[in-house]
Amino acid sequence: MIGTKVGTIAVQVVTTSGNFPADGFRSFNDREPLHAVLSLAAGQLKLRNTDGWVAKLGDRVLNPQFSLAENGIPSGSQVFWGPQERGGGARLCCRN
Amino acid sequence: MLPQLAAALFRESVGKITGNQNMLADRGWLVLTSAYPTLRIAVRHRQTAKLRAFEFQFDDWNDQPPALQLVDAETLEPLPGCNWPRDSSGRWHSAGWISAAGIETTRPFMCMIGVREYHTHKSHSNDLWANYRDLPDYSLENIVLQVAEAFQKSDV
Repeated sequence: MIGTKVGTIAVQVVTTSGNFPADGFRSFNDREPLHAVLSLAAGQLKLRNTDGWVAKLGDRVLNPQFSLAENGIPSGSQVFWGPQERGGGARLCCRN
Repeated sequence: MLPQLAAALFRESVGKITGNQNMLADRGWLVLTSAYPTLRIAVRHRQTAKLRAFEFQFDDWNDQPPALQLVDAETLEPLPGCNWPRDSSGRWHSAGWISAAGIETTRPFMCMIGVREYHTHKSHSNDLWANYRDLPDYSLENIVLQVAEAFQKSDV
């Protein structure tokens, strides 16, 4: 675990367009909603449209409305954020 | 699209992937080949630890979406359908697609927006790539991401 002061969580938001912060981690209050952190990342990385993007810790999908603590994000985590796959599959496609 | 321009777009986007070591490590990716128009990426399935190599062909990018196949990482031969991912979503088609009127696609393929085999299939003739090509979610790196994340949800 990355050492920061009590009540803070250090994270890096990782995307296909770059990372926020670019190197290392940034500490946030553990009660900070995840969406606020993601919004900050979107601004810094100049992401044009993140509607429908999903934040994950490994395979675990995070809830952007929950705080960092409520999402159970350990300090020193990389939160991956990106678009979800869409279209195709059984509903629309490719049945005999 | 001029070939030189397509190659430049390819290199710019591939650079975002190869230059982001944190993303490569976090998503379990290893870039095997990144010479226009071919991008081969091995992805580690987080639940099973199995590796699969995905070969994208970005010729004429981004006038058309990439063609996709899975290959053996050592021989680069097409991976047999029995080793393709499987899931209940119907995205992965290990035996191709056969219509009542005859064979349409004889080799395994993935059915997902952003993959050439989807957009060229007659089932999706109304779902044009032109409607997606300029959207950020369908940049080169985000198409690769979507394929890799669909693989993570499979039971390979």
